[in-house]
Amino acid sequence: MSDPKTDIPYGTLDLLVLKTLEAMGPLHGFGVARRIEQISGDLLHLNQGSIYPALLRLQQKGWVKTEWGASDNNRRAKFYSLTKRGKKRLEQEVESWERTSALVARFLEVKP
Amino acid sequence: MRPREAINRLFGWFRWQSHEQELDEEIRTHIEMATEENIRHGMSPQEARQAARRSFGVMGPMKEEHRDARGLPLLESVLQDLRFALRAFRRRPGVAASAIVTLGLGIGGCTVLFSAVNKVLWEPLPVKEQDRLVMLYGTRDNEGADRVGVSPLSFTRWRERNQSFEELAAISWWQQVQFIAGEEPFLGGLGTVTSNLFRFFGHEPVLGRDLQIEDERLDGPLVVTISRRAWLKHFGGDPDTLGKQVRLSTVNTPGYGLGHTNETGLYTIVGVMPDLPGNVIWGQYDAWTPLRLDPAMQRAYLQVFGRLKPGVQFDQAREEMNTIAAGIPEEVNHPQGRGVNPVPLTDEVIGQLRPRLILLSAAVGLLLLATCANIATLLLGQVRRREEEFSIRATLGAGRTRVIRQMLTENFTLSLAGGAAGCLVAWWCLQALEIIGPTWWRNDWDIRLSPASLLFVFSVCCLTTLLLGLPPALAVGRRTIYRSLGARGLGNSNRHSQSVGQGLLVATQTAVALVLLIGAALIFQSSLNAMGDLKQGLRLHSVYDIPLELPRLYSGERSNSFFRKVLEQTESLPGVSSAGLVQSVPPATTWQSSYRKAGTPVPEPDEPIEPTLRNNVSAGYFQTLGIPLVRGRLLDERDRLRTPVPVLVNEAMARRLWEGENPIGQLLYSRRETDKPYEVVGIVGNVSNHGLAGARPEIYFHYSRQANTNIHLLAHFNGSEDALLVALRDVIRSVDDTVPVEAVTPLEKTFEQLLQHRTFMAILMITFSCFALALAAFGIWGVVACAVSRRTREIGLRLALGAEPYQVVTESMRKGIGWSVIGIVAGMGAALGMRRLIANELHGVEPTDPLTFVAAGAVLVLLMLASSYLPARRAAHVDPMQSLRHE
Repeated sequence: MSDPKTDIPYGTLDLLVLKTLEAMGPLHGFGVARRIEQISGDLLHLNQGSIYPALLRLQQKGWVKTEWGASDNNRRAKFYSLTKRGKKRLEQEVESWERTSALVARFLEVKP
Repeated sequence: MRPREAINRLFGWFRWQSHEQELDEEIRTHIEMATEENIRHGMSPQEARQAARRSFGVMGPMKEEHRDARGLPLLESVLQDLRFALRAFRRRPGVAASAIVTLGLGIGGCTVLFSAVNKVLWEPLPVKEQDRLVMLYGTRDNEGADRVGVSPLSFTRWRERNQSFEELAAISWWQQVQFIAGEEPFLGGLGTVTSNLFRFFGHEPVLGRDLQIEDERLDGPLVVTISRRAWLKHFGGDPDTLGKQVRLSTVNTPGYGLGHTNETGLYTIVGVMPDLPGNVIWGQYDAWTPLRLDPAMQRAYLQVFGRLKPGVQFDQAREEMNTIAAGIPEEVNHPQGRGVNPVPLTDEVIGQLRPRLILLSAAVGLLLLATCANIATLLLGQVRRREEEFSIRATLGAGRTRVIRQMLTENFTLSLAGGAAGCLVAWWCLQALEIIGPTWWRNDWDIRLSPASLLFVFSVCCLTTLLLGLPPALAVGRRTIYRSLGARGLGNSNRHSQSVGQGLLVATQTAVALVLLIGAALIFQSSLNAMGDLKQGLRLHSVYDIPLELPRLYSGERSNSFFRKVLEQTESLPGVSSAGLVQSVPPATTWQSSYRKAGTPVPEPDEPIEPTLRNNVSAGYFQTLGIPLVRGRLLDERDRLRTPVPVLVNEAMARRLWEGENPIGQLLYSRRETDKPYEVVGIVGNVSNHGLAGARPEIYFHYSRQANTNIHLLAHFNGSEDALLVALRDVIRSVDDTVPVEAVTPLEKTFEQLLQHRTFMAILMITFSCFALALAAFGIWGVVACAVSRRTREIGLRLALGAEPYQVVTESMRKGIGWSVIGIVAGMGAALGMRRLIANELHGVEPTDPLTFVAAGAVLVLLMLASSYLPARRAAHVDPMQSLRHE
């Protein structure tokens, strides 16, 4: 089910968030959103705010845990980090993604 | 995964506020950080902030999404529906209040009936395995009586020889006994019982112990258990009552089982027992002593119960018992021809009540239907007014399902509120019935609100939700929602279906009202008929009944002389215009025997002869009750010594034995005697002597020819009950001061008591039909008023075009009348269809009595006309100019 506000489907956003958290370690919401923007260059049109429902969903599913802490500027912020479960889920998602893209690539290679 | 998510959602729901605040804080922090970054990139603070805001995105939907992920969406929307429902009620409190009140009455009535039905039909006895319990009546085959007592002889043999029953238990007939313990002696009812009787019915002692098998030994100590009621009333509920001694003194004929060695005795109280089920064992017992059987005694004074062995069928047991009974020569050859009649106990107990309760349940069910129809009409009317509200809701995103769900929630809330009100009504009704209900309700059944009743109320609430909610919900069609935002909705097809719905509801209410009215009329008539039949031939007004019981120490001579003296003195009391003595007061003449004309052959031992009721009277009896002397003369004191024994017969007896002849001077013999003739000296008028079955043949002897220990003194007295009681106490005390006079009962009250169940039914049915008529009237009124107000414009137009006022009025009435007529016809059909339901309850009138049907129909027609006309009158007063302008 695609959210018309962002251009990417739910599932993919979740994957990006998980990957970001794995790579960057514990991060607050702004940080995650900016990071995703940076990595994707300007190809991704993302409303930064939509990160929060995504983060909440991940938290509900037990893949992400939260902790209040201090940001660089000593601001109080909620930090999100990957759980063990989340790490496993990430691996599964990556594997499944790679399989899918390999399959699609194979199809695209086929010469008529 | 799902459970974890569910738990998290649950926590999220509970910590809603804090989650909201946290999110807000996060958003704020986010935007600040973004603003800072933008400033670092060179933007001005204002630009930075705006850019940060823009890149964040739209707040609202994001928050919604966040919320959706957080809580329990279904629960939330249901709660929201609830909030809307309450808001809607607050806006229209009148509608809500009247709906709740009406529902309360309907549901309350149903609950009362349900509690009764539940208790009576499903749990009639507080005993486990009720279907294994059997009542073993004795029979007097030669007289055609099949529910009489059992003798110790039979009981002993049955107990020894049967294979079908786990155990048998017995209790003696109720016997009045004087209790002397401490301060005040009191009279009470005594029963002698087998030691297993209470355990048979699953009763445990309240205090002390139950009777044991050892107590039945002939040489054992004298023990007695008392009832809880007697314990509280006469012993103050004192736990030290155990071990006290009480002297029991019989005031009736001996041998009933206080032990044949001790007619009075000093008994030790060993226990306090709860009451035996009154619907099984008639009579108010205050104490019980162990039954010490004389296995040779043939006086049949026991009530016997048995519990079938597991796996044994009732029919098997019945056959076996018949065989056993036939194998007891002393009983078979007894002049009464004794046998056994086993009957399943639950049948006995429920028997008469079942059809009555079913009838009442049907009536209440109909009433509830009418109530729901009434409220549904109300709500249907509301839908029209709230079309706008629904359309707005729909536009804002609520689908049709959501709107319907919201309406159902409203109706469910109403139903629950009505259900709660109903519980209150039911509770209050049950309290009231405890006081004013018929004795069978009060004493024998302990009917109260049980968990089953509450479950029933809940189910009825759900049912009424559906009944109420569906018509309006279906009326909220798609077109209603979308179309009515624009035009005022002139004549869309939804209105048509809505009006059909209203019409059907009106028809339903009218039909229900008619059925209940017919039922009430029939039952009322039969109640009157029954009373008339019962009182037939009697003059009851100002006649009082004083039962007199002598201590059994009196011999026949002494007792009869006592009665004679009392009678003489009573007759000379001021205010007493006549007095008489009688053994059994009609219509409950119980003693019967059989007689044959002189000159007819003696019948064979097992040849059945039709029983004749017999009674012992004094001369003044007939005059006191206004029974006419048809022929010959009455009995008097001189008949004490005459031979042949003079007797009176009633007209029925005269007709049976001496059709066409003159019975005066004719001779009779008792069944098989040949040496003691009776001579008929007079014929008296018929009276109801066998309940509602009318006048059976009856023969009267002068009381002095037999030793009577208890007799009824009847007196026609012009004065108050209390005055008579005082006067009589003096009279009796002056003759013999050991004889108690408990009460003086007006005979009319006795008769009314006999028919109290009929009266009760009549009152109930009349109440129900009044309610139903009111509901129908309101229904019709509402529908017509609605039609008039909806079609104001059209009416105005027609008036402007020259129509006469009466024309518009009749036009407006048409809808109300049309549907009512359908309802009346349907009601007639339903009443005919239900005739079997009511047939058993009726006396002297047919369930399809045409006069009743026509009269009830006429009442409904009048009601219908009145309820249609009054609101339709408004149509005539419509100002054409106003209505045309009104858009």
